[in-house]
Amino acid sequence: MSDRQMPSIFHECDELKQVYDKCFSEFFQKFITPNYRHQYAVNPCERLHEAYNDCVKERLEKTKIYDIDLDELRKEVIGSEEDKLKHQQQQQHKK
Amino acid sequence: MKIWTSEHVFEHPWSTVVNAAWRKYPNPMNGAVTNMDVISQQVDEGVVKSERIIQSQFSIPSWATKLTGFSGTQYSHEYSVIDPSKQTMSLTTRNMNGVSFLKVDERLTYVPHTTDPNKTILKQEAIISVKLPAFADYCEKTFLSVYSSNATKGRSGIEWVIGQFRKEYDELTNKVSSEVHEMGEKMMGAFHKVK
Repeated sequence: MSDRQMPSIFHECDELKQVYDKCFSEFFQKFITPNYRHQYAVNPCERLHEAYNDCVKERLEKTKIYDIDLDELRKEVIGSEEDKLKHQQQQQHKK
Repeated sequence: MKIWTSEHVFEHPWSTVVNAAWRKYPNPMNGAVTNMDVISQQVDEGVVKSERIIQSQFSIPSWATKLTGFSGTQYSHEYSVIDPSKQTMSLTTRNMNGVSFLKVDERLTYVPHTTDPNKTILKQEAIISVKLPAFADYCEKTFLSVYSSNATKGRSGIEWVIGQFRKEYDELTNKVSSEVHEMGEKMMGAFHKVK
């Protein structure tokens, strides 16, 4: 599927994105099969995502391509109480 | 406010449809979607949770841009939860631009067919509200008709992606069989030489 790629919104982050996408797609394909041990799965591409996401995050903050507050939207969309709690913990962790 | 719902049955098992739904873009049926970023992704207790920002490019008449401030480039936020042990994939999508006058909330759920494991059901719900006095009803109706045709395109998009996966798989097996075939020939050639 190397010829079917979705580019990053920011050209500068595209190379990092393609590396991450390739890694995650490979994992994902196995992950969704019925016999995979889902409970024990860890994201093998976490570090790649970190590098890629740093690039995107910096540019999202700078460019303001959308006119909503992302944190507000997350509060509404990211469903269950459990999800919200985890998200909060993550935010605090980052601070 | 208007609510639109629909159900569709894919003639493929859950993992095939979900694999294609996850990597739905790019596909020729949904050309408006041009870029995408994964802004968070967790694999936690057997569930994948992701947030993506999706960029789409639309051709919007200039009068509409003047009226609404909407430009041709739009962003939306997608939150997805994929649970392979329960076999569910759900996606919640919301627009990130023009929210002062337009709100679109979309929810998609992919689950296996209750009696046939080789089929997958897509449940789709969209809630649209337009805050433009005098235009609201007209805009909501127009939006819904566009949305409804896009939903059909989305499904054909997934079918197309499944076709691509299959083609890739076939190519791979063809390649393997031809390499095996060549190897067989070489082996035979070697045997002939030994003789």
